[in-house]
Amino acid sequence: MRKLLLFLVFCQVFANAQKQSTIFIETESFENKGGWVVDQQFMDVMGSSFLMAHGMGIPVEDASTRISFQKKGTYHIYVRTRNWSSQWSDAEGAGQFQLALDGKILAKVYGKDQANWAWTDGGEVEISKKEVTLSLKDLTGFNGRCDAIIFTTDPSFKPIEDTKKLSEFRNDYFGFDEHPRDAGEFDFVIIGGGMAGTCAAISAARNGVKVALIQNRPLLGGNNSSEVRVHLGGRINLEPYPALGNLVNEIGPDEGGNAQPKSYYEDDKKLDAVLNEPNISLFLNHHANKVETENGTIKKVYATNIETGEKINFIAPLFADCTGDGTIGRLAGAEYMTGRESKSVYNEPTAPEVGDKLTMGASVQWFSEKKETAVTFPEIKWGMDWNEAKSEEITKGDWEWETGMGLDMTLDFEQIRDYGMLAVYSNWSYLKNKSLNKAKFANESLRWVAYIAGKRESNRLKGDYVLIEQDLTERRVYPDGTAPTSWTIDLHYPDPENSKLFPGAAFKSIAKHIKIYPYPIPFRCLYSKNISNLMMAGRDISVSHVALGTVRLMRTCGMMGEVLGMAASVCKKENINPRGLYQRHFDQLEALMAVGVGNQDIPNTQDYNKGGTLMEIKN
Amino acid sequence: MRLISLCLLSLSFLSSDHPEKEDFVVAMENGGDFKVFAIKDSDGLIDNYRANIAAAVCEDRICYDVNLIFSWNLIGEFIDFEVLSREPLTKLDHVPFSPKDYQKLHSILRNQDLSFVRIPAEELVVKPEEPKLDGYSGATKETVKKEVIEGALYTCYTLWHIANGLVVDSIKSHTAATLKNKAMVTKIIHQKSQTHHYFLINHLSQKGYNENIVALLSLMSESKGYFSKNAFEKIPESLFESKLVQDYVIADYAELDYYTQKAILNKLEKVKHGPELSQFLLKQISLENTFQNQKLIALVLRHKERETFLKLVASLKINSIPISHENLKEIQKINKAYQINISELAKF
Repeated sequence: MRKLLLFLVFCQVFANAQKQSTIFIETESFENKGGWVVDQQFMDVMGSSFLMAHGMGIPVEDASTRISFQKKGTYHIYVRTRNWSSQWSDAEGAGQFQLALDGKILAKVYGKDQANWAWTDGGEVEISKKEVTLSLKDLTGFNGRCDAIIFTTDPSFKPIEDTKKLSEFRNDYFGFDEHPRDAGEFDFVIIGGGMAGTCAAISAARNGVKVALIQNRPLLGGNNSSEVRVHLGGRINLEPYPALGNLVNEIGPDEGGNAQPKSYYEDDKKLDAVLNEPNISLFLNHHANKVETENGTIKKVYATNIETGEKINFIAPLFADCTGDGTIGRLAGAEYMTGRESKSVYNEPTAPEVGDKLTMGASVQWFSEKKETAVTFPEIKWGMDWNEAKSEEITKGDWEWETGMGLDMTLDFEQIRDYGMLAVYSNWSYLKNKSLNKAKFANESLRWVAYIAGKRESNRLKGDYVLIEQDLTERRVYPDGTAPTSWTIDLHYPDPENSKLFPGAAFKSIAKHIKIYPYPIPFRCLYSKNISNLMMAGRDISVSHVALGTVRLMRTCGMMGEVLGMAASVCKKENINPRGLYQRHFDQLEALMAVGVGNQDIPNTQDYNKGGTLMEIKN
Repeated sequence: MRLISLCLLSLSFLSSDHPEKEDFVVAMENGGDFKVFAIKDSDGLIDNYRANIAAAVCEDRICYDVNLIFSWNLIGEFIDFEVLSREPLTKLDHVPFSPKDYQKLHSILRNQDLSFVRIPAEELVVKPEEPKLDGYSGATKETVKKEVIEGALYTCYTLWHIANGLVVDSIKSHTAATLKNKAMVTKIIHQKSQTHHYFLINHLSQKGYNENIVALLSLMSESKGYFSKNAFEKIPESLFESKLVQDYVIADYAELDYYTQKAILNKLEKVKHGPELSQFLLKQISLENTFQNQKLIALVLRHKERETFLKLVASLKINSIPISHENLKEIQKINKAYQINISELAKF
């Protein structure tokens, strides 16, 4: 009731505002994004995707769009932004920008006020034309960010700060919730276009299943895309189903290496493979963020276009959560696990005595390139305190530039990503301007810093079985084995040396490894315990924190996807859910796994980053 | 010290101990060849293979000859190399290899998981846009750098391809040809490496399986991983009809892992089996064994005698074991002769 009243009040406020002429502009919908990038990673927390000036120290090109005013006159401007660096520094904000109207720059500088997402008062402006070009002018090149802009003639107008209410207002303003578009009916809807989701989609499609693949970035590949640049790892083509992995080989990059130039990650290879499948409908730039369930079964999944804000819905008898975060499972009410289980839970030798929320972190990788002549980099005031002892005299930050352990990988993720960038910029600024060895870095230019951080762990959805350490180390192989995991149990912890220099705020990690024999992951780990039509592949499957250490490698995730696609075809044929498949028709899945789904006639290029193993190689 | 003793060993290998003709010759990818000798043990069985390698290696336009002795095991896995003391390996600018470099080279030559060896030689370095006047020909790729000895990229590359190239298949073929000799098979069975055992099951002839089946079954019982599954898949079907193998199944089935059990059931589908095995398979049908039940039921149904059939139906009823459509059809077909009540059988 209270909600309804509030809603009516808002309607009234905005109805008045409409009369008075209020214009709401989403920056991610700008026609010309210039050098600004669309960042959707935190939209479930702060309410929207936004534009960000990721210039690595060099101001990016303007973003611009045409806007129409109903009437000329004096407008008050509000800009939803934040000063992202202020949580670590009192110095002036890192990411600053201004607005321009028809090329005329307005005085107010944004990105230097409040720490959290909120509306900054931009003062008044005289609008003398009905059609105007609005531009975002980056001033620093250091990740200034702008979510939305309001122009209003209503003197009583107060922009909404509450994220949920603001989302309701946006949907109401643009009419998105009234008529979400029906994307069509599918046999199988896969959310998440990383290696797991991409392989699941192709595998299902090739087995005669009509698939929708939803991915919240413009690219496929997830952590292996050129946005994150982590190379594939783990082994394919192993017992007991050596044909699993042929698809990973088909779409996987030929060359390995973390934080390498963009071409290494062969984004087009993955995209083309999906586009070549007539049974797949691909929805790039769509973030799934709402689920309708009935009696423990998912009926509909809704997704928002990260640029236009438009909503669409998907109906299917079967869904797969390949989001990595278990987003769909959580929205549907699936049981899930987060953090480290204590020893008492599964009696795992590597588990801590007391459980906690510690997860592995997210990597913000980077590299520089050598130029013919000297290159400058700003001496930043808002960076972390740095000195010779802290200085990392390197030109590439690999996987170990990892942050966020102990924080929430969904709720705190903007802070986690930003801290990763802050560490990179702080070190680089010191190397370029103050280091005793700065001459060595004179010609080095920061070429690439990830703004899409590479997550290792967040939520794990509970299945009919939870894979644990002893299954792997004692080789407790179950009859429902599927994709083999072969990487070591590779768990990351804050780097003790880095922790000494940055107490409680390490941005580097170490890895501890326990070698295993390749182990087939039970099918019961690949579907939800309590959501009857939900499967999962990737890092959000049903494993303990310790067991996640091995299954999270992307070739393994890809093979889980291959299995999911095959399972979807059996579910479709027999009109059953995944548990029914396990109980009555597993032999059909076995037969499909034996045959495989990838092209077996192409050379195996997946020779890099296979990882240590106890396995002896066949001869 | 090591170099001197190696030098003596090498000379003796090259001259006095092996005056006889080589066993086979292997061509090198960049031209030239080398002779491979099979070295025998005191029983006259091959123990390993050796070859004197003389090849030209170029590091950044400076070329020199390397002269080494390589050795491989029975299945073509590189074991070790020996260096002539008068001809030590060198890196760029003629810097001799350090003991650490030799150690690293040894681990490189034995490693099958290296990325740089899969890259064409001309792509190992990042070429500069324009050739520089000082002769600088490009930087080693980052991913490659981690795997090789600094200043000896092409030495590592060339020697790895010699050690792990065409010679491997030649050695395998040569050893495979000796598997007619039962003593050689026994020697390989006694090796502690599973890769040798995989080599054996991949290269034994039908006759070889017949002659060595007892030892092979024993090896399977003791093996780890998926070896027993693969071995059962390789055993000729005709052998599955023998009492020896069927008795082994009855005795050891319960101890075998799921995948080996499945491989056995798949083989049994293709051969005749005796009543004892049929009785045994019937006992394996249980509610806990949902994945294998239908295969087991199908196998038992191949024996259409009344007693077996009645026992099967009774077991299915008592345990409420669901039956697949195909098996139910077969039960109905057989039951035309016996006319017992099968209406209570559970269906999928």
